[in-house]
Amino acid sequence: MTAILVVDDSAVDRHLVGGLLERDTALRVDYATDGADALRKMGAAVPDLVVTDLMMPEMDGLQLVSAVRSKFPYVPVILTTSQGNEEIAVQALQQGAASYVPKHALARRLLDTVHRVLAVSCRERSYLRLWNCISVAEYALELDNDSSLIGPLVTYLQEHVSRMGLCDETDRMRVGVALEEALTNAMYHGNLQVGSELREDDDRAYCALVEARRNQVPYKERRIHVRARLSRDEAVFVVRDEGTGFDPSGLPDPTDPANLERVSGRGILLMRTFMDEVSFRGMGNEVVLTKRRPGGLNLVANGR
Amino acid sequence: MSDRNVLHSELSENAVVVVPLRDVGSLAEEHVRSELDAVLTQVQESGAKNVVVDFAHLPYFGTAMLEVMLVLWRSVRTDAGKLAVCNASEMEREVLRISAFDSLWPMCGTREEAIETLKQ
Repeated sequence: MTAILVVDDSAVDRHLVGGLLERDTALRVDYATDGADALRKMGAAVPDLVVTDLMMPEMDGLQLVSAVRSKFPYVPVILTTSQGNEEIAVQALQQGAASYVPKHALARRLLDTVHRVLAVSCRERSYLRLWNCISVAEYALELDNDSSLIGPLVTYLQEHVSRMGLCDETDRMRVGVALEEALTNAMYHGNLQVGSELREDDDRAYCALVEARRNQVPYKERRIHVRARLSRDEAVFVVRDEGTGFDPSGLPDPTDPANLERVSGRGILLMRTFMDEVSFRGMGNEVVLTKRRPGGLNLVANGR
Repeated sequence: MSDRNVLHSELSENAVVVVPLRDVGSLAEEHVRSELDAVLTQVQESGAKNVVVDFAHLPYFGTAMLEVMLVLWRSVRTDAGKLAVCNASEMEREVLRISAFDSLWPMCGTREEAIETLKQ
């Protein structure tokens, strides 16, 4: 049986919605009188889906959507709205509600909407269960010097680090910043051999040189090699460029007041701060970044 | 508001308010440079003395954004102008703190506060 929690402060509306849902005998319906009551009931037994009214005392539908997103991220919420509340419904969708049905169209649209949302949610849960079965994931990529690939790659790796339960939202952003620094260093300073000093002196000349070298041998033939190994305990990223390398100890100390107006060295400082371990290998053209799962963090368990 | 898709900007009192909409680190540098040029032109033509960078639409950034901010700051500094930051997330404050730029640019809660701070 699929469990649906119907939330509405009006007993009449509550039972109208419940009655429509019970036309499908595969659905089991439970009721709550407002958002706070709904969260109490969800604490005792997590439903497969919530159908809630928008306007309620104590905790309204909008607040309930936020609370469910935060505490039960895999339980979809459908809102029912009276006429004139369309703007708030859009706000609720932006905050994570799965769908909304105007009250005047409940008889016509509610059951279809519930089935559609359940189908999507079922796929997502299966996908999450699959993720829970992955113990180690390894990736190997070879990129040319196209900066537009950096964003999608960082997002892809961030997503997988999160899915493996290795970090919370804040650490996900930290991993993103560190990876972006490593990849941009490999591209601009490694493969294209354009130094930050030029940027500090003349940003336009820096951009022009980057563009020119993208089409010049040997720079244009160089690739960035990325390897990532994600386990339940740690993520290890190796980023290697084909440039001539550099001596990391020769970088200016960005915390020295004399270097305050320079960006040089700050990327590596951010990497070192946001990852648990950063080391350079070879001639300085390979960086290894490690992020370990903080003790007690088990985000994947939320996938039910 | 400008119709640019990386660095929006608008004039507010004596400051040009720059609103980064996307992380510049993963974008083609010529695209960023072209939008940055448009902001610099606005600063110059408007006669605005100061720049406010409003991070209300960006959750985090790396050194590429710091480089953009340095270019903006240098452009107003020659006329004794200043740069302030507002609506930065915890993560963005952390980046500015680690990179020590928080000692160069005041960090304010809101845009109004930032504009007010720059008047002093």
